[in-house]
Parts: sequence; C-alpha cells; structure tokens
Amino acid sequence: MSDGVSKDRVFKPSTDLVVRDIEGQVILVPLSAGVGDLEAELFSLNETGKAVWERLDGHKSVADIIAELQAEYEDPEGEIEGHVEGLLAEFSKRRMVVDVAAQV
Amino acid sequence: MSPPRYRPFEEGEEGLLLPVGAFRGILLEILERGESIRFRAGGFSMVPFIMNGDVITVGPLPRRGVATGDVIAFRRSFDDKILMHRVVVDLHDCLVTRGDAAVRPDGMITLDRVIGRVTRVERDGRLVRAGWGPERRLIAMLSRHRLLIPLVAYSRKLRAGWERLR
Repeated sequence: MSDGVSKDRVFKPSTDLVVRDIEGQVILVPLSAGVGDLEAELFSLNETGKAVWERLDGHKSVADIIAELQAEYEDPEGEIEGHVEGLLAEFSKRRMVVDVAAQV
Repeated sequence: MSPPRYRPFEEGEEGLLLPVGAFRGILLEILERGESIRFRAGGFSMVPFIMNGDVITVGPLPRRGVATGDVIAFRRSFDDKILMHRVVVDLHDCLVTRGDAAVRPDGMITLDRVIGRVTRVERDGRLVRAGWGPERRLIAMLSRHRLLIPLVAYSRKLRAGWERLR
C-alpha cells in the first residue's frame, strides 16, 4: 500500500505542534493559525505510532523507519510499511511534519 | 522473548479525553508560546456568560494588559488550579477575580499567576456575544457589588413568566 509518501523522504515534526507524552501515549495538538484546537484536532498515538513519531528526527528516511520497525516488531501480516506510509501521509497533509528536503 | 506485535496507530481519535495533567500542560505550553487554545469548558462558576460545555478560546494576554471585566485564566495561589474568572477589581499590581455565578471572590491574584484571557465563547456552534463587549465592565461592577447573581435570577424569572404568557 502506498499513500504517496516516497521512501527516500525525510521528515521531522513541525514546530506548529504541541506534543505531550502521557503515560506512554503521545498526544499531538496541531496549532492552526495560532490556535491549538482541542475540539477539532487531537491525535493520540499508541505504542507503535509513538515508535514512528520518535524516529522522525530529520535524519532517518521513511525506508529507514520502516526497516527499524520491521526489525523491532513482529509483523506477520506485513502491515508496517503501509501503516508508516499512511501515517506520514496523514501527518504531512495536516502539516504536522515537515519534509526536510523541502526546507530552504 | 519474541518481539512485540505491531499494532496500527490511532489517528484523530474522536472524543479523546485528556487527563487533567495533560490538558494543563498543553494549555500552559500553548499560552507560553503566545498562541491560543480552544477547548470545551467544564463547570458552572461563570454561568450565564460561560455555560458548562461551551467551547471557549483562551489567548495570551493583550499588550494593554488586563482590564476590569476581562475573563482571565490564572493559576490559583493555594492549589495552582487553573481557573477562568472575571476581573472585578484591577489594583494594577494585583487583581480581584470572581466567577459570575460564584458567591464570593477568589481573592487577590498577583499578575505573575495570570496566564491568559478568554477571547471567544461558542455555544451550540454559535458565537456568544453577550458579556464580552464593553458591557463586561458593567458586569464586573455588578459582580463586585454582589448584584449580578440576583439580577440574573430576576431576569430568568421574568423570562420564564414571559414564556408562560406566550
């Protein structure tokens, strides 16, 4: 499954975002036009979603992240690749991550 | 030991309830960054101008500072709880606040405990205008002189009587 995120892209978290780690669950609040809207957009990531998020360091490519997760997690149904691409496409669409290559 | 099984992420989880500590941290961080935060208010201390379940926006303090009638967000001195109440007296170096439906004022609030100001209230998807314009100074004065609660109660009685007549 591919959601339009090529594997050589490198992302890092947007600065327009508040991130909180609450008892192992990562809560993401995007700041849109200077407003953190808890009524409209609030994301929570479970343990494996968090594992993706923590790898968005501005250095690892999408392929690197997929490879690391495949090494770390048991994935008999082969879901990791599609989910990582889907998650990053969603984050990218919502401007919660920035593509390092696209930055000036 | 086998590696943990991969579980898909959860995105945009609707109705996600934030633990109190998480909400507080998010609110403080957003306001410290000079941004605003929009969330559903809980409680009855600001009835009728903020009802339980209204969606309110709290922004950073304006450059002019805080004025009488503004509804501010502040950290209460004795337990550090964050409240949103109206400024009823401005003593320049400190403020006296009171919930519009509260029986007594909160006491003196030093300016270093003030973290933001309520800038917008929405109820059932509509903007609430009453209580947020110049009339907020009159509301503060009525509250200061303990006239607001009886006045609101009286106006409710009048309204209920009018509804019965109709």
